[in-house]
Amino acid sequence: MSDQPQFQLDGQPIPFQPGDTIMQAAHRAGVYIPHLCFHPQFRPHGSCRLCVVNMQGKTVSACTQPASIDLEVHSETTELRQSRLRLIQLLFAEGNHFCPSCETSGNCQLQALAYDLGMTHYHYDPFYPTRIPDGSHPELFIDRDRCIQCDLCGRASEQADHKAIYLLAGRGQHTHVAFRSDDGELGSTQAQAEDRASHVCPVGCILPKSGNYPDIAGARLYDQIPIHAQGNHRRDDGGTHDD
Amino acid sequence: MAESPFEWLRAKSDFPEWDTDLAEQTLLNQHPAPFRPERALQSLVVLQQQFGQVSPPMQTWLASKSGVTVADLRSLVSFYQFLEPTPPPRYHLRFANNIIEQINGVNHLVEQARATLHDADCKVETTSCIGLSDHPIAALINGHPITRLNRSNINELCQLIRAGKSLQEWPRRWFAVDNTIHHPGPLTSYPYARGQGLALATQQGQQWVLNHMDASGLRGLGGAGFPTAVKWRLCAEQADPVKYITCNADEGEPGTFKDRFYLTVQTDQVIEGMAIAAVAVGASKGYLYLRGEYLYLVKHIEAVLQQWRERGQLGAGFDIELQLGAGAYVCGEESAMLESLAGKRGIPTSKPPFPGQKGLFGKPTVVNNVETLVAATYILQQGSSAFRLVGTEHSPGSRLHSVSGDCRRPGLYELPQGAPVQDLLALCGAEDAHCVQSGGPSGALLLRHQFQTPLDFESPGRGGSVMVFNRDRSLWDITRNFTRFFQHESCGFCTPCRAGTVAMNHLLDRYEQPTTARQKAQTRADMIELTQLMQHTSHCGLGKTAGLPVLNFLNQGAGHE
Amino acid sequence: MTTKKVRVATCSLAGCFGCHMSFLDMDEALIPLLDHIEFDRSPLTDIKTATRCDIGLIEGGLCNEENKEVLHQFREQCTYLVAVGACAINGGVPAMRNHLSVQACLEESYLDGLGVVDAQIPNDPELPALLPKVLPLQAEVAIDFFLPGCPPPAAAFLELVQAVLEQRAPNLDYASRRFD
Ligand SMILES: Cc1cc2nc3c(=O)[nH]c(=O)nc-3n(C[C@H](O)[C@H](O)[C@H](O)COP(=O)(O)O)c2cc1C
Ligand code: SF4
Ligand code: SF4
Ligand code: SF4
Ligand code: SF4
Repeated sequence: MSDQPQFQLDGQPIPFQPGDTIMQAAHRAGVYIPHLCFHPQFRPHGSCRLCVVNMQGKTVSACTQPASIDLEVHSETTELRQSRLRLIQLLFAEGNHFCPSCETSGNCQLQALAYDLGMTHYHYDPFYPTRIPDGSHPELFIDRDRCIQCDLCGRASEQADHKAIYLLAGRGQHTHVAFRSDDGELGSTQAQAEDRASHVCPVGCILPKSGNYPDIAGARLYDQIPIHAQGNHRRDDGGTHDD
Repeated sequence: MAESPFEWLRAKSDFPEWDTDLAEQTLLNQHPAPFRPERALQSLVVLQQQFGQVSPPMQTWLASKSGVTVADLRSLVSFYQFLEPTPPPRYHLRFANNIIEQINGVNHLVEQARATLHDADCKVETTSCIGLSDHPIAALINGHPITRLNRSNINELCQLIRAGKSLQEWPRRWFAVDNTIHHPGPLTSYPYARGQGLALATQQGQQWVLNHMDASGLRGLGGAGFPTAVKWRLCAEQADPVKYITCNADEGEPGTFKDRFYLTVQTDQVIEGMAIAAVAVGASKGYLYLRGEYLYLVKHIEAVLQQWRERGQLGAGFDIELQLGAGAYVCGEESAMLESLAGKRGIPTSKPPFPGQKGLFGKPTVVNNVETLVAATYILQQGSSAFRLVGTEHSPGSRLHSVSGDCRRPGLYELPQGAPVQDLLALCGAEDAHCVQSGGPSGALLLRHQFQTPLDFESPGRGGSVMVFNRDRSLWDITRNFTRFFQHESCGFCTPCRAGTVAMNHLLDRYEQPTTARQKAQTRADMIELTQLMQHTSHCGLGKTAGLPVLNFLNQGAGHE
Repeated sequence: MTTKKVRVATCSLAGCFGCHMSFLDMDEALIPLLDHIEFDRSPLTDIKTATRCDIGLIEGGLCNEENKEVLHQFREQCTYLVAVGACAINGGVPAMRNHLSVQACLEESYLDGLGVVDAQIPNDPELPALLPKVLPLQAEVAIDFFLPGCPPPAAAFLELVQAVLEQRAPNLDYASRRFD
């Protein structure tokens, strides 16, 4: 064994490198902590709060908490599973998620986490917000009803595409994804279907305009294997980005 | 030469037409480099004042000058409530809708004003507490405070609006803000000698100041009670040569108005406190972040800052810049305030790193409340043992309480830390008090039998904001008001607070409806669970405490009703 | 297992009967079950008013006043009330009208829609009034169990009935927790 520093995650030693967050180290070690807004290639955001873990009597987000030596971190506790279930239910309740008609159904990370956490219903009253879609781009469609304000598009667009097209605007429940163009439409930006940002959304908000519903039910990403066993994926990432 | 847009009593009818030359001149009058990207928010605030709006053409112009994209400017406008993309009405009347104004009947006034003014060029809105709960009912008219509105003078006001009278013609007394101290104490009544503490600090040097502050045991008076010396030392220890001092004058906690007093009456001591902190950590630049609701204080504060510069006490080694918020309570949270100072939406950042390590523009930064800085000035002049003469071992010194609600003398009271609630109630004439909300909406709800609770950092009754309610007030209305406030002020960054504050209001709606015992019990359990969820999983203090009013209601409500 | 037969009532509110179809999809698994369950009010039996039942299965959400009334009847009559399918749980496809006003929906359907002849908005007082928003069942009454899916798979129904027969909470496996 190397003398790399370690911390304990649910009793299991996790080695880490200086500067790692708990999430980065766990991810590298192949231990799954539920998440939606974290992505190993982009800087952490810490907004979805699904990766909450217990550490020294405190609840912290694993994606922003620096790893440190001899920490005892707990993730798969009954209480935390319940908290995560409620957070997922809040995300469903605040948007408009009609999975039966959604292009991403079966390949959606929000839905997959809901399945994995045993969600059967919303628990909270649905908010039924009015959110405006954007169909101005020739190749991409934006369905804000499904957006979870995770800013992965914003980070990918900035860090991978160096275009900085996507951003979050508004306040509180009116927070929404926006685009850096004079008229605010995606069609007026330099966005392209090949951009990294066009292939990073964990839900069905940023969609290609054609070629949807390619897989039959049963053959989709999360139809058979739960998300905790295969990690956060999209059907277009070749099963590589998260492992 | 464009006059300052912060001139007293500017009526909206005076707004000039959009003009790029005038805009540029106005911005240059306010700041030598107004088009630096990090100034974008401040420039929007100034333009809003000058032209009464920040319309899309204005945004396009500012974008071309500053290099900040129109989309980013739009995103700022969509976050800050006081930035308006639409043409201004001639009169913009914003009633405070804090619970104190509600128990005084603000809803009636809003209705009355809307009915009377429906065809007038006047927009009638409500906004969160504007720091005038000691003068209910308060409102802002075109940014200026109007106090003590009631059912009779509201008619007069509406008539003036209907007659199109400019604000200069309105009765001056309406604009009066009373800053009387009803019960003075060390911080508000000592023989202050301007600059003496700062001179001592400069002479004795950094380590001495830090040790001195340590000995005083001063804890932050902005809410969290964090030891000031520890905060300063962390910042002082950072290797980075560039450091900042920031004064948190966002004073958004409903029912608080003590900072309004200090900024008006003891302005020198706020400035001196910042300068002392600068010596302690080695900073050369300070920012005073003033909430947009206190626009009417800008002129005064700028004038006092100018006097300090003219005397050579500011400017050479350390200077202070005033920046304005624009109607967002969350910007009082220290990391959100730093984001706002850097010209962004006020979204709290992740800690660690703490501001003392990586704050404004990524540099080590001290964030202190106005009153904390006033106390630092006191400690340097009068000595740390003088400060410790009053207060408790763990909460030394005294503090100013903002008292509002059902009492004969609402206003400001300085009491030693640890004084029981009942002392304060006796002083302010609240014999009929039935319950007290101490520490703001996220603080403690204390019933009559709990009035011996001390006001300090060790006990639930932290004080600061003390709202008094008599027997006629409904705990339900109080809870509702606070819970709506949190929903309105959530920044929207994280799931538990963005969606949880809305879900909490839905649950309260349910709780109010006639329903089966089974459903009532379920709703109650859901509210408790949601409060805990928000407490444990929210990103910042706003969401962590946003459920507490409901918990207070459920715990205390049964005894009350 | 209890010896007494379990009485089951079903109904469709703002739904498409897809959930009922899926229930029948249990195919041959339904036959042995019939030794243990009997149907009360249900489109499957054409009995119109329910008596005391063990399980009430409701498909569809609430889109009008009549839906609410029926739901309350079911709640009173049934020991376990089950929200069946996406529509019952979150409003489902009918709730996609929720960002429009009722008036706008009526105008689109009866006045301005494609291929409308003899345009007029029906106003017979016998017709139940539309609710401003389509609501899930949970908004109105307490729900005991939820079967997600559009429709839920037959296995989910089977597990539900079996759980009630065995007097335990249903436990849907990964394949039976579907939202589409
Ligand atoms: C939602 C929220 C709002 C806050 N508002 C204020 C405020 O208006 N003024 C203030 O001084 N501190 C406010 N605080 C506390 C600050 O984050 C910070 O603790 C304080 O400014 C530090 O100064 P102190 O150590 O001098 O108290 C707020 C905190 C939260 C979570
Ligand atoms: S984005 Fe995911 S959760 Fe939302 S509707 Fe689509 S599949 Fe369902
Ligand atoms: S569009 Fe997708 S990636 Fe972007 S913020 Fe919304 S959910 Fe996240
Ligand atoms: S807790 Fe609320 S205010 Fe704080 S970051 Fe989260 S959403 Fe914003
Ligand atoms: S859930 Fe699906 S199958 Fe069931 S009623 Fe609704 S639309 Fe039909």
